Amino acid sequence: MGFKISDYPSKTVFNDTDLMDVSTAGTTSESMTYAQLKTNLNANLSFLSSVPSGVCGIADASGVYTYYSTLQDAINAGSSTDTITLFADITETTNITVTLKAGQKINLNGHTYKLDQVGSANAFTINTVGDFHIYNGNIERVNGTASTSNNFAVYVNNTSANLIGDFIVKNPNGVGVKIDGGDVSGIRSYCFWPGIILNNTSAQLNNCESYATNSYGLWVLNGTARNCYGFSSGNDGIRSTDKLENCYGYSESTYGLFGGTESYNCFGRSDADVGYHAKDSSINTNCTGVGVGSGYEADAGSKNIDFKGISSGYLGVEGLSSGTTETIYVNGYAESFLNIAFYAISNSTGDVKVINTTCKCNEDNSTGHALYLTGSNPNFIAQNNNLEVKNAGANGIFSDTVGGIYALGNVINVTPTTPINIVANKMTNTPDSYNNIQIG
Amino acid sequence: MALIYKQTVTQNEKTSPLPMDERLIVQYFDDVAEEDKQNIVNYDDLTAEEQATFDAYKALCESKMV
Repeated sequence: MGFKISDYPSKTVFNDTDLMDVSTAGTTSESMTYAQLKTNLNANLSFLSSVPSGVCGIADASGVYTYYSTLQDAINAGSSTDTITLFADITETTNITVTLKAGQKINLNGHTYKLDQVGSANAFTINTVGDFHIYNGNIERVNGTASTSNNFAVYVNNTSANLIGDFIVKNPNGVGVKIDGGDVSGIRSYCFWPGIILNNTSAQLNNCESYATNSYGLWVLNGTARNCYGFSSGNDGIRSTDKLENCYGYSESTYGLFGGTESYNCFGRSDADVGYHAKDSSINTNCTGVGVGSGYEADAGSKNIDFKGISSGYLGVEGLSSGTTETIYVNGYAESFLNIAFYAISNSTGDVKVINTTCKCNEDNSTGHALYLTGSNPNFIAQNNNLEVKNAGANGIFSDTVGGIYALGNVINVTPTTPINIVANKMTNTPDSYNNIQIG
Repeated sequence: MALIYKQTVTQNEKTSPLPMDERLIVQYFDDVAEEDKQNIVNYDDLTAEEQATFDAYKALCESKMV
């Protein structure tokens, strides 16, 4: 009768010549030396050395994995319903692009897939019809050359390809994600150039964060961005030529948010320039701009409803120019701490209408007017505004033009000696007995 | 062609949310193209003389922090 394995840990060292009791209960006592026991165990456990492994794998219905040495091998081998799981960080150094198969899911499993190559390849490309899901990790493209045509970390290149994401993208040398495809959501992208470029009119970009050091944080060329955040140190936080909903743009150097054709419920903040810019002929509802430059800036023909512009260093709201169609400001708030609250230019035939807007100038200066109207072809309507100045020499409404101004129903605070300082008010009509009044 | 200077933004190096070297962003208006433009110049790309000027300007700015 020798030692039993159960003697461990009280007996921590077994010598090769120690007899080991290897009998099972109810059987005749059987023993072998410790050296014989080790040899026997090694022979029976030798299958462990041949257990398959790989950087990624696909599990079958029983949870048994088939392993692959490259991600593309796994994608090619898998079916459209498979989930491919990474088990280690992967760095590719050849000029290859991983092309996903429709319907497959990529579980990055906390790891990073990186393409480190000076060529033009994208790290990932999605160019087939279908839904794709990538989650739980990082995709990086490094050492490429910045381009809006290639060298992306992820390229969605089919208008019927939809990507549901929950992953992080990095490209310190170029663009993070380029979307010429379908709907995309759930990506955080940190890049040198735009973190995300959206370029499909019918596509939607949802719930993404997009950062850049040297270009727009988020660039919406075509499509709708919803619930997105764009940040840039070196250019606009968000630059749009299409639609934005519930978006926040922050720039440390230029426009916080440069709006497109339509913007709803958006916010632009700039540490050095204009907070929010309304594009010519655009529709802007419930948009706010806060800037060191103008808080809110609007171009000709834009419609600005429920707007706010606040500036710490320049104009609260700046109406850049007018066109042949009217430019409208309704239900707004304009405030400046160092200049005129609301500055509007009319230099064409379209009316410039400022209606039901609070204009507040905090600068204690005789040039610190609440509402300043100017231009070579004045066609202004200033109606039912609340105007406030800090200096008695400033005016509630000031204009340096002759003619073209209808001012009615405005309320000015007690401070200015001359509340309305315009050459002539074109309003001559008077209200009827019901207080209705026709402009004219 | 006239390039009309508007402003310069100077930025310290930082690591969050993105790594970025110390640099200056010169913003100007191109009256031929009729558009705003900017040029981003990293501190490390300046000549020694230019870096000395930048350092002096930065010291001026820091002296105005109250």
